[in-house]
Amino acid sequence: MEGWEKVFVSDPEFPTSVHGKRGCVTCHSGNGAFADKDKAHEGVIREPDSTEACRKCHKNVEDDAHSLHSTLRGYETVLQQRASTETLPKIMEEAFGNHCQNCHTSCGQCHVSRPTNLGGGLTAGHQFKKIPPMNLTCTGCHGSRIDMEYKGKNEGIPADLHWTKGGLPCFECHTADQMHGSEDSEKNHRYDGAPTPACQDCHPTVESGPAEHTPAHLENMACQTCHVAEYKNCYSCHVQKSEDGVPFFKIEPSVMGLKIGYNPEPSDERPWKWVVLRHVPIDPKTFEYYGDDLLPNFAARPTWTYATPHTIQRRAPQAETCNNCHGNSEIFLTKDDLLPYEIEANQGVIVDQANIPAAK
Amino acid sequence: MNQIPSILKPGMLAVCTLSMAGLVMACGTTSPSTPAAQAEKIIEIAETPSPKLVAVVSPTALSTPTTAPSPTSSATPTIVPSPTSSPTPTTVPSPTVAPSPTSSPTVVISNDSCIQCHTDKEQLIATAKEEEVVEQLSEGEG
Repeated sequence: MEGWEKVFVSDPEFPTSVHGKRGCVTCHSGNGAFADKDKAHEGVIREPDSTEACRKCHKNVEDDAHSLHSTLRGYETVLQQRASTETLPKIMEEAFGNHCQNCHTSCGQCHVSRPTNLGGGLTAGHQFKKIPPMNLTCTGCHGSRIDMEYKGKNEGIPADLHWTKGGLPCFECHTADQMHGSEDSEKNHRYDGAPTPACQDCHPTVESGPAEHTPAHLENMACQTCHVAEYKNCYSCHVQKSEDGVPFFKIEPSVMGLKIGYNPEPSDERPWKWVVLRHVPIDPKTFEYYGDDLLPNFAARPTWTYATPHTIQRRAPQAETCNNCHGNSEIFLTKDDLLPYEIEANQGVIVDQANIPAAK
Repeated sequence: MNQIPSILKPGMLAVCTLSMAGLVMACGTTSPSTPAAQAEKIIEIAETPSPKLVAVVSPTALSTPTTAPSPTSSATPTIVPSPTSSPTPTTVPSPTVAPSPTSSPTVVISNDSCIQCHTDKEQLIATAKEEEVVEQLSEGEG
């Protein structure tokens, strides 16, 4: 968007709308009594504080304090595990702000404008959209994995059935309550607690489904194990700053693939033995620019992690025959799939040849 | 009948009177007498749905003298009463409300220019500052 376009209040009804009647300065400060641009913008707040500007009327905005979109708690959770009490403050001191914090989003960055991380800009002439525009907000940030997978933009990989057959936008499955966070609990990461949404929420009769839906399969395998196509795996993100102090990252080329392994985070809500695993972009030297050995407990978490890819199929290639999985070591994550630096970290999720289900 | 305070001279009285009158006419209200009352007034007005706000700011925050009455800017020689004229008691400002360098002048905070400019495409194109294009150094899919 052009600079002027980002701030163009093109909606003629906005000034007389509920929000417009509050007056610009109520949320943005500044002073429109001055015709001079610089004076009018003195003290202006481009991104109003959600809790201050929104909570006056929207009392449930307090929930937002528990939203992973707002807190970025998921990042902190994994960094706490991989770092130490000595090194975590060093990461949080500068690197986190430079490379992670900009993924934060506020009320306005979805409901009024594009997220600041994407350059901002009003999405609908300053209309407050109860349902944010999916392409400019949701997949604007969740692009390289979710958007490309869901819409079939990865060459040779089919789009998600929910998109091709149902045309379902994000909010059909991911409700506002889920995206805003729960009022009574703070999640440590996005897979903390029960699946939201769960497949059975819309498909309650899976137990009476096809022959492959045996009790053993349903009990031991996450739905995705059979019902997703290949998805994106990323490796070795390194973060640093340019000579001018501009933060940037480098990630090695992504690889499409699918690996089944042991569930790294079994719980009452996610009890399955087998799940699909995605490689996440991390390595022991990710923060090397900011200090030596800042992830001394790198092996505390696997680099192949619990995944819910958005390439869902009625019958994915691995489910076309029994022996696409049974006896097929290629589809399971084994030690041979690991890079030297991650062997220890993934001991809990890799499958020994002896434990691969036998061929039928 | 009230006595005119000895620190005020007739000429000053007229200037002060006109200044105060101008202040009242411009703002429609006078500043609350205490900081707490001032803050309360700001909040009260700010929370009304009216698009105009009134706020008290320090003299240093004023950008143009037209919004801040000063003892010397509101009167012209033609309307300054002669020393022989007798101001009526009702127009005599008390020392406690007379503008002084240490009192808090009142300025109008408005949304008028905000809306006027941000709904005018041509004006925005003419005045918006294009953001600096930062060279993209990152590599790979974020």
